[in-house]
Amino acid sequence: MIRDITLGQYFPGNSPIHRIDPRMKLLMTVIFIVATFVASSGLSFAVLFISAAVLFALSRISFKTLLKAMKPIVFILIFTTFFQIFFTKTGDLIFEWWIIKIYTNGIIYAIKMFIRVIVLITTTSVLMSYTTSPIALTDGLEELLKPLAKIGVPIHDFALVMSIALRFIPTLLEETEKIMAAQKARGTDFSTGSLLKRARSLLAVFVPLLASAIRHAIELADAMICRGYRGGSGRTKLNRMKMKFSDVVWLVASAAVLALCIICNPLTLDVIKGVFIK
Amino acid sequence: MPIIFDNVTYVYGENTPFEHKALDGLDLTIEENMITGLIGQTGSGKSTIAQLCNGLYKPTSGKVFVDGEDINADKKKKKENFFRVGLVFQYPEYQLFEDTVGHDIAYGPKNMGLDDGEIARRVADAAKFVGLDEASLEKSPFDISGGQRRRAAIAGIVAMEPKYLILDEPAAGLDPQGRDDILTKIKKYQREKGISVVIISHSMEDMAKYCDKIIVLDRHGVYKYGTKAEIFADPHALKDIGLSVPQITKLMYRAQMLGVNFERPLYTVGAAFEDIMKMLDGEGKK
Amino acid sequence: MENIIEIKDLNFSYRDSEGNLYPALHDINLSFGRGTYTAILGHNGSGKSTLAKLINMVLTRDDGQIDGTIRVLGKEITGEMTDDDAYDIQCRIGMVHQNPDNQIVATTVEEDVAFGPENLGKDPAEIRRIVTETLAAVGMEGHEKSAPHRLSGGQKQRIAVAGVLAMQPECIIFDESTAMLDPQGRDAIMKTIDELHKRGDVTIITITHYMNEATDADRVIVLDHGGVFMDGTPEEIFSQVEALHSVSLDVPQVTELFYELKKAGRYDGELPLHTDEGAQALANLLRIKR
Repeated sequence: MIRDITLGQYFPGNSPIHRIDPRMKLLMTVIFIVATFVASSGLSFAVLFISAAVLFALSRISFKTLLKAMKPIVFILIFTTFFQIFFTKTGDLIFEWWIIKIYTNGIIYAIKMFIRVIVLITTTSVLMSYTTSPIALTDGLEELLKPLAKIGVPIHDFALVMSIALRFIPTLLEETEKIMAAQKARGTDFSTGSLLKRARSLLAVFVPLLASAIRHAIELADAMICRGYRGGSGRTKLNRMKMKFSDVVWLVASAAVLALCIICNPLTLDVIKGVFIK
Repeated sequence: MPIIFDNVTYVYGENTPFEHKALDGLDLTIEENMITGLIGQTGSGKSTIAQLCNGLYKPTSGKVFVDGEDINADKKKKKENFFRVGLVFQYPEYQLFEDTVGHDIAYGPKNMGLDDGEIARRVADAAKFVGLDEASLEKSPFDISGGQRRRAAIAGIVAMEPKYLILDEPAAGLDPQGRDDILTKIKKYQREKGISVVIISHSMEDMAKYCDKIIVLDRHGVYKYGTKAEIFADPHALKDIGLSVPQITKLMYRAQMLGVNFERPLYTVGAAFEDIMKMLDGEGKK
Repeated sequence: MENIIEIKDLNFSYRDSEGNLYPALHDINLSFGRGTYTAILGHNGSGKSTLAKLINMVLTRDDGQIDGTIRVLGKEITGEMTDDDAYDIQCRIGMVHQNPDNQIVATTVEEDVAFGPENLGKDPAEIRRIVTETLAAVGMEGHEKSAPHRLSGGQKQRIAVAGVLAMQPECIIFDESTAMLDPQGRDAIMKTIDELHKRGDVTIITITHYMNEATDADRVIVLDHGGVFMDGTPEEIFSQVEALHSVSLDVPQVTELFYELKKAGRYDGELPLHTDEGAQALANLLRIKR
């Protein structure tokens, strides 16, 4: 049934990654995004790739699940890789057949682009969508943005709106499914007919759904008032986020990855090779 | 003709982490030309059966026959089957959407492709059957009372003049008079038209009062299918699968434990009254 | 006994956007003692929900014309009030509505139950204690981390009750709280209400049209066309079968049976409300010894 759909792609679990404070995860995600764009040398890409792999391994998310996250961008990934390989005309020519000429830089750029995208997807999905519930993310964001409340940004209200939306999405999905079934049973055809006809069919779903959403809103507002809600001021929280020592370690480690990427940027693989061979 | 389920299995969310088997190899023949009650705990598959009957759901395996036809054999006939097996969902008033009640009742018949004259006749008939006057047909469905909206929604299905009519909790949330009113009308309609009606309900009292036969579901499929006397004969077994018997039947069993013997299982106040009177008279004669 | 709610000569009419008035309640004089359990019966449109909404101030002068007075916890809520006073009263009168889905705010059970105490600005440790206690009171311990939309209707409604209990109110109004539930869900809510009543410190008002739910109350009030039609103990009310039928209400089947027997001149005792008393009365009637 539709209510069984998990919101977002959160997989409940208790891995070290799951346990990181959501605020830290948000910051770490930002750091990793910056790092992927900063990295330019082969070595810094190696650092990135390894750290992403470590995060992934620690999260205990299955490889299959990760592949699923990649699915929507597979086409873009293939296309850009292809583009890099065949249209970069610098470096040494290593392959030539008919009009196809492949240069070393083409291969290198393609690999870098590939790693960049893979790392980006892996870190954001492992840190955020797969291991952090939407509500924890909302809470984390609220906490991080709290200072903005001081200059009059209604952070609390935004967070409440977000969490109520998250709360009602499954309910409204379930209702949509029911209304659609009911209208189908009255002969509504959602998939064939002219555009106008189909738009009209959707109206048969949209009108009752809107009425229902409004009813939810009015009754919920009453219920909230009955339970003493009058805005964010003076509210306390059952679960206050507590920063653990390990959370700080995670943040420092991520910062170290970024720093390492920057340091490694001027170093090419050849330099390293030279060091070892000597 | 009866509605026949032949070894029907239905699985929700197949190949997802939430896969859940609602029905497993169900064999069931819902008899024609009577009111059949469908009862069972939440999650026993009542609504799934309803939506399999009109083809909204397709069996994961097995076949559903209506009028002797496998309803899932020909995709082109899908719509036809919606009109043949009318399905009134739970809280159907929430599906009303047209600008007037009359237009909403006409929505189904219009989708059937009927001509205007026929549509008008059917709307008038359906409205009359559920007891909506002409003035309320002109009103917006959002401007009439909850009870009237329920009736308007039922009229919307009845106007399609289905040979089989399935109603999922048609009286849920109504007050006692509203309940009796709508269920009496459904019974009258069934008797007049000679169609087959299935009522899904949680209320054993309503089942006892309005149905001819009852299907009891438990988590494994059909627990029992029979006449009211057969169904209510064993209140303990019903209790074991999370169901109850009408209060009057409970009373009879309690009294039996105190040494009172009744000749037949009792499940309506009327029948209980009759039997007790007979027993009192019998004793008087002694 | 101290009266927690006192209603004197109350008349109420709804006002629509054009200023037209629609009478909903008239000449209501009622009071509710602390710790009592009252069931308010009436068919749809009899005014029972309107009365409840006036008591906990969901309906105010903005929604219609109020004449007469309602005093709640010693304060006249129909008169001039400061926002803080109104807020205070509202927090002390809890209300459980019909649709459980429309009362649950948060995405986990514990956060939802915590919503009220959080609004009151309670200390997190105190909130945790309240959450644990109230979840136990409604028999939903162990569901702290569950997502509300995965629970059954009856479970959701119990969470809604816990959410109201967490406000530690002095009075709880159940406004047709069982109407959308299956029999199991209904039984669970009725059991919860019964246990709350036994605790004795909460005043309970249930609004229902299921007769079987009114038989356990201390007192039954029947509303019809916006006025009080009957007021008495369940025994007193349900013995008047004819009068109840006249306002489109039923009596429990057991009562109905004995009423019929009485009418036929075969029974002259009190009309039983429950199956146990009924069975005993039936056995006595048929003069069969154990």
